[in-house]
Amino acid sequence: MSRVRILRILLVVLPIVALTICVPLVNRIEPRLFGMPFILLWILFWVFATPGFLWGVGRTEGRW
Amino acid sequence: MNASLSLGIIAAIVIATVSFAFFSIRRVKMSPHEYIVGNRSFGALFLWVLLAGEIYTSFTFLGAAGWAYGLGAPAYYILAYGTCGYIIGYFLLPAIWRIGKERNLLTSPDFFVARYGSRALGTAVAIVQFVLVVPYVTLQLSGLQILLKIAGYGTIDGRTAAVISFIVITLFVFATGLRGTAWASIVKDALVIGALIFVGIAIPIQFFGSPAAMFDQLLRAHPHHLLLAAGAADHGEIWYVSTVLLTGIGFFMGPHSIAATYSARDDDTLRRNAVFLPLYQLVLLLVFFAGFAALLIVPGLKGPAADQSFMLVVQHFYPPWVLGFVVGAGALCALVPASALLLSAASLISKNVLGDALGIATSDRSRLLTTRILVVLVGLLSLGLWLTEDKSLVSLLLVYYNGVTQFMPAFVFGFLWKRTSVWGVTAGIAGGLALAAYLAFNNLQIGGANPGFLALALNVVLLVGVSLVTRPPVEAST
Repeated sequence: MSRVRILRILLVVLPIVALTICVPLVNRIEPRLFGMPFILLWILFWVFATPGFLWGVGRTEGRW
Repeated sequence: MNASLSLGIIAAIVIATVSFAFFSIRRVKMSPHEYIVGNRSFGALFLWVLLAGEIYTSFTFLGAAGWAYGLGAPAYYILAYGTCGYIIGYFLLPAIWRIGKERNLLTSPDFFVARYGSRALGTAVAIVQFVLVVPYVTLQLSGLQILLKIAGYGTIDGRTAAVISFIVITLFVFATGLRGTAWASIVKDALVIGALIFVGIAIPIQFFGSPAAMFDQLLRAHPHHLLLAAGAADHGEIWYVSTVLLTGIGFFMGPHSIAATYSARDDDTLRRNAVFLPLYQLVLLLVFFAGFAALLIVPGLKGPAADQSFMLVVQHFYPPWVLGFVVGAGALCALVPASALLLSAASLISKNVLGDALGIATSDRSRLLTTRILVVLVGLLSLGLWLTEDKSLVSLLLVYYNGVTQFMPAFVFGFLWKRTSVWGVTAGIAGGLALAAYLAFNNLQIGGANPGFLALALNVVLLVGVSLVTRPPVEAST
């Protein structure tokens, strides 16, 4: 498999894994930021990082 | 007097939105393709607004606040599943769009006819989707009634006002079609974002000093509220993981979402939307803030009352005009998705049942007319069902999400596996729907996981197994 292809698969799989099966691993309150518990921060981080990941997928496909 | 001021503002918002949309489409030439899928001409920003308009309904907001208030951490799943849905959508939607463009498709069942070469399957899918979607329209009516009741300060029961605004929206869809819905979504999104910044930021600041201080107080008062319960507990970790995956998979499977997909100008428009739609999830975070704040300000609400929590805070502590704007934004969150749902339900019947199965109204002119008449009929049907308060509606809603998810394998395998046969797809959908309904009606859960998973697994097994022993469709080789 080419390196670009591996990168593309990682870009897709990482946020999905982080938002699903990783969440029980980060199911805790501390450390907090702006009062928000860590589990919520973790989910928020991946939600707002996803546009970056999907944009990256488009790059590996030579779209933009 | 308070009630007439807030209700007056809501009426003004609804009328202004409808007029704005009417004005915006006044020069558009109508045809079935224009009416149902906007002539496949929507650019990235316009489609973004339409999709956001359809996806974030009154129950997304009331429900998300209710979950944050009543359950706490399980509400986080709403942030995650939409995001997973957009990631899947990045790949799925352009593929659906391409076959839609090549074969000139109008509805979700049209895909089944085009890919599997069976009009009977298309008609059956149309009927199932129709049965799933109509209760979803009535759900928006319930949302509308709750909102209007709060805006009336208890002086009205909200029912009459909900019926009137629903009739307005039905006539609006009759006249304007999908493009009008998209224009109305612009107003909806702008108002919703404004209202949620107010309830999610201003309320915590005013009552607690800052959102951070609100969290401090919440953690002291309810130490476990912001964490998921361990393992297989009710709404625990296993529930979270399975539900995010399953609802992410089914995210774009509603017939109205497929119609919106067809309406894109090109496939890149859809990819760009998948990239940028996760940002809209920020508004859900604001809803959570509002729900958490409400838990501290007006504690003790139970069941459906929890859904109204932050609206009650606005009602108690702010002037009527503020309540009018917040509820007006909420009302558009019921009316805009309802118009998209009505339109897709009507097109399922006019295209796949009347047109394909019965051979009625197949010319462009008569199809446009029958779709429009059906919009009104489906609107009246939903209204009638809602007014009778039929209990079976509630059970149908339990199946809506797991039900539409059962169409996903037919799309994915249809694109990726040539051998997928019409009988495989039929067996998969039938088996999956039956099991999903059985599990939902009997409220069965296995090991804390979302029961929809079993149904989807059965669907895939049947699809693959039956496809292997039956003839692949003729269409697949062309």
